[in-house]
Amino acid sequence: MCNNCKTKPVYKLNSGEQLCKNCFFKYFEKKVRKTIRVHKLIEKKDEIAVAVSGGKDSLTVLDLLSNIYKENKNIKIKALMIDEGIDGYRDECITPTKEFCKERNISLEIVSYKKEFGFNLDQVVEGRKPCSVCGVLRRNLLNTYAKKLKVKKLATGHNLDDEAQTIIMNQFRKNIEASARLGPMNGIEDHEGFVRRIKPLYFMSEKEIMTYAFLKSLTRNFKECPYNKESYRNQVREMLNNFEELYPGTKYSIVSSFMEILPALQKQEKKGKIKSCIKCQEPSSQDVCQKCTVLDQLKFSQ
Amino acid sequence: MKVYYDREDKNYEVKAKNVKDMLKELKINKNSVIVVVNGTIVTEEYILKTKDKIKILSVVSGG
Repeated sequence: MCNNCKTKPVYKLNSGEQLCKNCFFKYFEKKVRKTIRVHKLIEKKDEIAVAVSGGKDSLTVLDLLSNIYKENKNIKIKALMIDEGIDGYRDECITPTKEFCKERNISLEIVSYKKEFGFNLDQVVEGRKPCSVCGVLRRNLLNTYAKKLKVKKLATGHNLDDEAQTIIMNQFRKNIEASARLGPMNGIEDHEGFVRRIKPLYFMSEKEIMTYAFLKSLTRNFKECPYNKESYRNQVREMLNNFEELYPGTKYSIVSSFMEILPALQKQEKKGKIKSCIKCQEPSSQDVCQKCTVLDQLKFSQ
Repeated sequence: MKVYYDREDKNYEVKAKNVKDMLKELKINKNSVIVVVNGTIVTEEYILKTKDKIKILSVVSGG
């Protein structure tokens, strides 16, 4: 039974405490609000674009932010969707996302790989790691279109599981520079080339978000990206879930201990090395940005 | 009892009496799924009944 109101429970916390639907909603929303407040993710007069995929995480962010700031005229929430061209997956998310935004009166911009780059992801993944190609291109389009929408921040659905996985992956691959760019708010402050990214679900687990999205009927599309199962991330995810089962709180410990060393990592990262890509003029740490490098590789190998 | 697992798009037959044991029997990590019985989410203590309609939904979605 729910520890607070003795009704049917829907969720059991690591502490053993059980929560009914309403108490779970209160717990969830309070924790997200606290993340926004403590880490100053959203401030007065911010315009926010939520990067939506149509999945549970991004729709939860969009629903929460549009509710929290409904009465606040100083904060505007928009939605930005990238259509990578993944048959049987992304195409099925587009119509429900359009309806979701229409019901809530949220403007939605949809940008496709086909229109921007001239191909669908499905056409270029053979013999490649799909997530590596897709991640670079998607990040580029999100930043480019967030600038076009003139928003100050880009909110994503990244959660506790994503972050714990990324921290471990960066450790395993000795990629500390990439870890310095993690955290509930990343990006470079006041750099005209980058829109800062915020993660309101930073401390929420994937299971908590799934429970919330299901109970709120935010989506019935809980499909996994077909390329996900092949990924390195998926192996790390399984490893961490096994640890979490044996030692509850493992993921939170990874992320919270990482937060303590993050300021030192950020300090260590060399500053002032942002250049403009010689091909597209977008900001880059190299002469040619990652997007142009990926596009060149695809062009030459076809 | 019949159980549907969406990640594998498969039905399984289980002998377990509660959700916790059912996930153990199917070797599914409890952190990677939610369990829906007759349309409602239940916790691992839930005792399964013969006529229950049981779905195991993977929490790994999106991407």
